[in-house]
Amino acid sequence: MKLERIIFAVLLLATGGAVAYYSGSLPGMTRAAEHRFNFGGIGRGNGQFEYPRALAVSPVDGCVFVIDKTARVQRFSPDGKHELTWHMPEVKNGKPTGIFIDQQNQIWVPDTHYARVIGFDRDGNELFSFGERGHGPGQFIFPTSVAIDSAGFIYVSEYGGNDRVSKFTPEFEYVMSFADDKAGAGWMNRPQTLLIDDDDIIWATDSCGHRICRFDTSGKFLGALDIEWPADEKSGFSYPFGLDEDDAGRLLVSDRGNNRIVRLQKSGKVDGIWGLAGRAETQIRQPWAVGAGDGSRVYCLDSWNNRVQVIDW
Amino acid sequence: MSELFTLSRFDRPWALLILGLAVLMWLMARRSLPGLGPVRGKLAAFMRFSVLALLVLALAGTHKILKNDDLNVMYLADFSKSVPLDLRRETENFIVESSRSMKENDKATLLTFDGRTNIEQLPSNKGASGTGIHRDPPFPDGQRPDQTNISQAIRMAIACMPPDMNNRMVIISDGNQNVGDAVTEARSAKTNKLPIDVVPLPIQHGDEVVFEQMKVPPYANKHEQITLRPILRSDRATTGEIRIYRRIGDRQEELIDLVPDNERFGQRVQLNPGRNPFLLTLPIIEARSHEFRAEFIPDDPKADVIGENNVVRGFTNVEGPPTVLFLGQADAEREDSYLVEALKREKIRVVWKAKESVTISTAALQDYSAVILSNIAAENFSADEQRSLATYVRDLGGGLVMTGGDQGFGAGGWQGSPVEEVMPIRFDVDSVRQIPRGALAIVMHSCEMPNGNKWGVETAVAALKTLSRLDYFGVVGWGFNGFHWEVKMQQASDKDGIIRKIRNMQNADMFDFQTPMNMAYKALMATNASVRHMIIISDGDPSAPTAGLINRMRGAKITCSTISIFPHGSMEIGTLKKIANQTGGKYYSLSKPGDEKQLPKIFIKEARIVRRPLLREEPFVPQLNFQSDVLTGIGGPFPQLRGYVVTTPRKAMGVEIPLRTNKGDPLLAHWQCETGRAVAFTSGWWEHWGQDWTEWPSYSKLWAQSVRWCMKQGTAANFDVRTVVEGDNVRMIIESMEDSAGKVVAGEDGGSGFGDFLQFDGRVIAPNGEAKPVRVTQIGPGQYEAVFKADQKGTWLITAGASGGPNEKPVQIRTGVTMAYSPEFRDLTSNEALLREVADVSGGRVLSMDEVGKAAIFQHNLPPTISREPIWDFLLKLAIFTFLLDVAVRRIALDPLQWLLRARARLASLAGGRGRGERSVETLRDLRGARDRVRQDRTTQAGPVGKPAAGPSRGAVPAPPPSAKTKFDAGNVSKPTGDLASAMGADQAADKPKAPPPKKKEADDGPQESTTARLLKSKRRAREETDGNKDE
Repeated sequence: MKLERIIFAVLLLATGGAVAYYSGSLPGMTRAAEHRFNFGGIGRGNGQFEYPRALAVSPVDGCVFVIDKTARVQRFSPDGKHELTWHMPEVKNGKPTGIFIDQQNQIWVPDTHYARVIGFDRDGNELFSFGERGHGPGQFIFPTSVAIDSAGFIYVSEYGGNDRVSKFTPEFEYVMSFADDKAGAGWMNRPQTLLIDDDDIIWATDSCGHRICRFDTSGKFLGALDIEWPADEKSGFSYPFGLDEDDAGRLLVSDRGNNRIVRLQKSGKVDGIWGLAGRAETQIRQPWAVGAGDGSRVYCLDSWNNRVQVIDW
Repeated sequence: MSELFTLSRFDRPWALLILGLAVLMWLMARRSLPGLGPVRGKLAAFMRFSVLALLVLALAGTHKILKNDDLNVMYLADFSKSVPLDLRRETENFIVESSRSMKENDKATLLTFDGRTNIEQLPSNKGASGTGIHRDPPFPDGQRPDQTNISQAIRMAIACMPPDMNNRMVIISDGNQNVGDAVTEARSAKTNKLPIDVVPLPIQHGDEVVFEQMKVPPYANKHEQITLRPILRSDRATTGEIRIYRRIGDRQEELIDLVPDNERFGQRVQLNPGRNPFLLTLPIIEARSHEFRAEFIPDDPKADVIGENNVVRGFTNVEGPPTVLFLGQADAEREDSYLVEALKREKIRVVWKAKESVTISTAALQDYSAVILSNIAAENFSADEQRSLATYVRDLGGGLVMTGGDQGFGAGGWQGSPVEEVMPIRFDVDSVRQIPRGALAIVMHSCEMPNGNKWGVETAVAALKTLSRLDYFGVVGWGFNGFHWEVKMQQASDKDGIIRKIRNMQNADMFDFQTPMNMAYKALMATNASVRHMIIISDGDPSAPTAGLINRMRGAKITCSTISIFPHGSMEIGTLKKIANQTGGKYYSLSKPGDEKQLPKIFIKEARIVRRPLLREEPFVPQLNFQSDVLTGIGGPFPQLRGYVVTTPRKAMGVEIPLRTNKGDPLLAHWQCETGRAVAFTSGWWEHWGQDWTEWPSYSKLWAQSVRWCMKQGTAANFDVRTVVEGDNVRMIIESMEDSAGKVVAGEDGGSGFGDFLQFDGRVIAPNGEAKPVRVTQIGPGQYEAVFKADQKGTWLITAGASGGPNEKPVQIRTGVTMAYSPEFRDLTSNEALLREVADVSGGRVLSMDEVGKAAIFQHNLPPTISREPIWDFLLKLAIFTFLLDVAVRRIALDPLQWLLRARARLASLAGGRGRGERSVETLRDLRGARDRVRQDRTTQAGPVGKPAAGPSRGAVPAPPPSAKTKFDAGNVSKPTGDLASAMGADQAADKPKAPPPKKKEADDGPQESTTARLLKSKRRAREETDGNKDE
């Protein structure tokens, strides 16, 4: 019996050791979320990406829109089937790094390196464009994100020396700018993504400040989200880029530098973390954006792996 | 795709030996498992063996075998200039249209090639548009359209092919390769089971005039009349004009007036179909190299389709008196004049030139016997120019003198350059030396430019090479794990190791300067360097650093230079400019295509900042170390010098160091470097360090002797040299002649009357400066030949040297040949034979660009591909699951008989037909029968163990009650043997007078009772109930 126990112990240790050894690349090891599938892959073909940097999910039909570094906007069905591709009108200066879809299913693309915002319908037909380069009121350097409040006002974040958020009327007339006082608590170092919730609170990822900031629609800084990190997880964001809200009113943040997606209560309590850094089927690297789909579905832009990871969470 | 499993392919078959443990396990099982019963015992043994087997198979690296008949077609499209534009468009359409026939899982890959290969599309599935090619024609142009390199394209395609698919290559080309060997690569493709289909493009130009060649004498003397022999080939009779341009030395090219009495400059000519040779006589007006360019201009443009092949060049070497090229900086002419004048006093012909005003090339250097680099930094020379200088010494027999100063040797960024390789000293410093160190940190964000990672690597390597082994070096970048050190800040003692790390660098999109600059700042501060410098290369769009960090850097005297590469607009450069201005660094802007070529130069210049510690500025008296040739007639004492650049002697044969400093460092060193010679003087900078020397009487003598020692040898006069261009091949023919006194010039054997059996060491220097050896063989009495392939446009230099020439004098022959246009424009029809051979060798087909050809591209007629996929992860997961089952089988006892009975009862109750009482009676009868059988079996198995169970009735000591900790075990069940009533019985209870009677039911279920006791009680209650039912 003693010998049997020894063999049992050896087998137990061997199994544990093997799991520990391979755990770095074992597929399926996710945290508290069910990985469903991914789509994309490197290439310039339809359904493929070359360093995708922007993703948004349509609140109307659940379609997923992705923009990569070839300046192509691609539309996918909620189950990841490629439907349509169109190109941004100009690409010489650079490519867009953000995308937003409103309740009318209009696609707003902050054309980052052309200092403007372009609107498309879901089939890629250009509807409108506004913005010009400059440091003045209503002008942009590098616009990164668009959001619209319940009254229809448009908010555009930007960086490049102009790190601020500008507010426009639905007719694209400049109203005001905020978060632009470098000495103020509400100044953001490269605001990357804006999100406006049902209470008209503006949430913004202060990507190089490594925090999530809140403002009201008058531009008043309501404070940075005080995050309660679980003891067993790395605390603090590292370049939070993407931001979205799920059906349950929780915030989804793509924590790019930490290669993970963080789900938060609006109180700041971390509700879940998903993602392990790597190339394996269920791992992610450098997520630039995240989008909430219907129900529990979450689309994570796995930028360095040139794909979109789809999880149920 | 179908899957096959096999256990016959293992990565580590030795791991299967671990299966030997199974024997040990079997022996263990024999001892330990019988207690589980026959079925569970066998099952447990099987489970454990399975766990072992699965683990071993995972460790052994078992593979799954996949059989795949999906097809990946790799299109290789020839976009070189020999393919007319209309055929190129046809090719593009053919590619797009033929990819429509691909199946759902098939893939299409697109590579275009000329002299280089571009991957236009990685393997991709069919898109929504129904084609596998996701680019719309026209496809982008290539990088080297004046060449065709089919072999490189094949190699690249082999590297791209997915291993788990059937792959087919389709080459669409005119077959006119002029670089590489496609057939050899086709054989390689065959070994990779990769058939190459070919689609020959039917090239047939219309009427064409080609400048085949122009024969120019390789040597001439000043004032001599030379004859140029241009040869034109025409498809039909036509007329036109030949114009001749001449470039003397490094001057601008000029048009020669061939008919002075006419308004025209060119010579009118009438061409007949076929070859048309002409003769033109021109005077040689200067003792410098002459390069001629002939151009044909047809009267009727329709008579000539390709313009590029209407030009031809020739090269004549005109030997003059030895001349020395003195290269300095524009603002240092006065400084350099001390040495220039000293050489002139010694009758040496010197030409001083500011480097900024001249471009160095191997051809231009041919006019000079030696070159002097006077306190001039490496960044003033492009990489090509540095290579040319090295080639000039090593391969062309030239002389090179370098003098020091604050911009010479290692302090001038020459370390690691090709020039250092030809010098008699190393510009690095031994690690044991105690000199102040420098530290350089690079913040690398080069990915935003075309070929960003490549340039990132090149610049970092260039900077590293410039540093000494004592200096510190580090590179910060952004990777998927955030900001990190691509190369940790470390001493550059293991440069090869650091270069390997740099080559693995994959810097990515950076968006913040604060973090990487802060990392670099901290690392620089952690070094004991006396000079600390930072370089940032970026497109400028990351966020700016904080004022606090900038202030800390200024406080620590850390300078930061910034290089803006291809900013997205004008706005980004503000951040980079500001960082440079605030920290005392320099700002550079590269915004136009091609500007990136300046990057290594900028990095060398910037890295030089940390090289200042190499200057030792203190007065010293040079020490005579060795009386070499250059010091003939010059003795000490030597005047004082006030500084020098620290260097290290090269440990090589032939290195001589006649003068050293007071610290033992080299001051004057020279050596023979292959065919040329080089001299290094680590001091200089005459107004700062060497004022005493310029007033020294032996100053001019020493320098004259040094320069004369390294001057290039003159060309052998008693050899005639000719070059003949035949297609891509160049033939150099050397003929030895009798000497001028009419004396028979004989080889060592004195046999033939000519210089026979000479062992020439031949070298060819390509237009890009690359030198390669060429074999010179004797083909007749006193006649030698060398043949090489000239596959680049430009001037090719050829040298041949032999030690034992006529009269035992060394022979040095130099000549050149110019390829005016690429061989790409010489072929006027397609080379279908080559393409057919490629298809033949690789097992491919010859297709055409018609409907049949289109349909054949994605034809699934290749044998399926068998590929392997490791399944260790699956086996490991299965082993974990099986292990859990194994534990479950051992620890959880299930009675299959009970299950059977319950199932049967359940079925019977569902079936109906009998009353409850009948079923109960029958069930009970079955149960009793089963129970009796089990009891009998266990009693038999238990044997004597059962006997003490009746003991208490005979007054024996009662068995202790089972411990509460005892788990349920089959062994425990077998102990209450014999009559069940007596085993559980009241008699026993009666024999336990001290045991307190149960007060209430809850007490029976109390924690102090063992599981066995509770089971026994349950059985007793069941029996009482059964008996009651029976009574009813």
